[in-house]
Amino acid sequence: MIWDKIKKVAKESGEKLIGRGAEVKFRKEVQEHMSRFGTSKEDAEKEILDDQFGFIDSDITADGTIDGDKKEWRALEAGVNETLSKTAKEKCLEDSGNTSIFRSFRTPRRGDKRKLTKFLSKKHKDAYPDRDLSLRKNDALITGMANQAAYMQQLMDRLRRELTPHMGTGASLESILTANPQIGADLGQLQKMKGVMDKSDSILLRKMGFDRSMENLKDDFHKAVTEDLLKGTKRFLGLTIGGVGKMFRGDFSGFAKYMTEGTGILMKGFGRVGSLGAKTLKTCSLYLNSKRK
Amino acid sequence: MSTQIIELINASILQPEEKEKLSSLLEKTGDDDAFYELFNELLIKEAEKKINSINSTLTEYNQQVEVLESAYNAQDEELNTVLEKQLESIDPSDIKAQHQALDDYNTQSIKLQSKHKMNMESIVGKLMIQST
Repeated sequence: MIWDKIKKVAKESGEKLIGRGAEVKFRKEVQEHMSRFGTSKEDAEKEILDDQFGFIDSDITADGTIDGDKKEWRALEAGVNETLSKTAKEKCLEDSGNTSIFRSFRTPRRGDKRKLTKFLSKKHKDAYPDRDLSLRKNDALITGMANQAAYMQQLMDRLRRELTPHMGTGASLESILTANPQIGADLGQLQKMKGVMDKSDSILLRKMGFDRSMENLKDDFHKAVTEDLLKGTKRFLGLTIGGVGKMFRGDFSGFAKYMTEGTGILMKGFGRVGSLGAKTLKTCSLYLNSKRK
Repeated sequence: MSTQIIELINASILQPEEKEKLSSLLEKTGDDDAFYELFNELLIKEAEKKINSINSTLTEYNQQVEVLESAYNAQDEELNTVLEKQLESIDPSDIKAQHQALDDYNTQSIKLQSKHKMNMESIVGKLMIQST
């Protein structure tokens, strides 16, 4: 008995290490559900899967997408992995491409592009300061992603609706799908559609990365062109501030005059080429003016 | 005192020959009004020269970048329009067609971006050499 428990813990730890932690979690949830509600394993599995569909549905409603970084999709995948055999999963994928089994929607649901744009803008806030421009430029991809998410939501609605009569019957998901291949085809289609969404997302990310790299190139150029003047001027001004008092022994109005005239011109130029130089010059100018009084 | 002024001259943005001129004047006449007047004049002239040169480099750069970016944006927009139309016409259940449309778009977009990147880098490189 104890040895069995040790073996189970070791197996679960191993699974977690190889990235199957979500599967371990699903099995635990099934066990908890069974002991809490006194249901069969098959019914517990269906209930938990239904909850997971519900979480994904809420995500799409809230954000206009299923974010690849979120754990909800992985949890659903794990549930399907634990509930269906490899053959059954392959059959779902196969049937989803079979037009005599899979039922297309006459009016596919349209996605919420605005919601998705808002979500993406927030998500990429730190990595891409100029993301909003990139997002505007990638309207086609975003519209596609929003529609893909809405279509997935539509598939899940039908799938959950058609699974409802089988809840609490004790029948396993695999046996339900064998008897009703059209439900399995929806599951397969859902999985394939996630692949399309992931592709759209990775293209968008790549395009945003490119836009960022072009902005960096422009910034680097501005910096490089102005750096030479800034470097020389900053050193000069530093010395002036340090030495001006000593040089003029209290009477430096002449020097201050030319410095302020000079800095005026410099500042005008710097205003056009960069704020750093302007700040340095302004500091110097203020210093000199304060000494004049 | 004189050492400090020479240090100031050397740290300034003036050209070597102007620095030389100022240092000799300082040596000859000391730091009188005429010296500061000349220092002031040269400093302002050099600063204006440098700023003008930076501004003209930046203007040239901005003009060239604008041309490149508007060409790039127009072509990118074209690709987006094609993708939008394709995705619009594909049945959502046709996964293969959607993958194909996205793959085609991605390939074209990568091509366009690498061309744009090359053009941008070539402008930056050319103007950097010109400005030094």
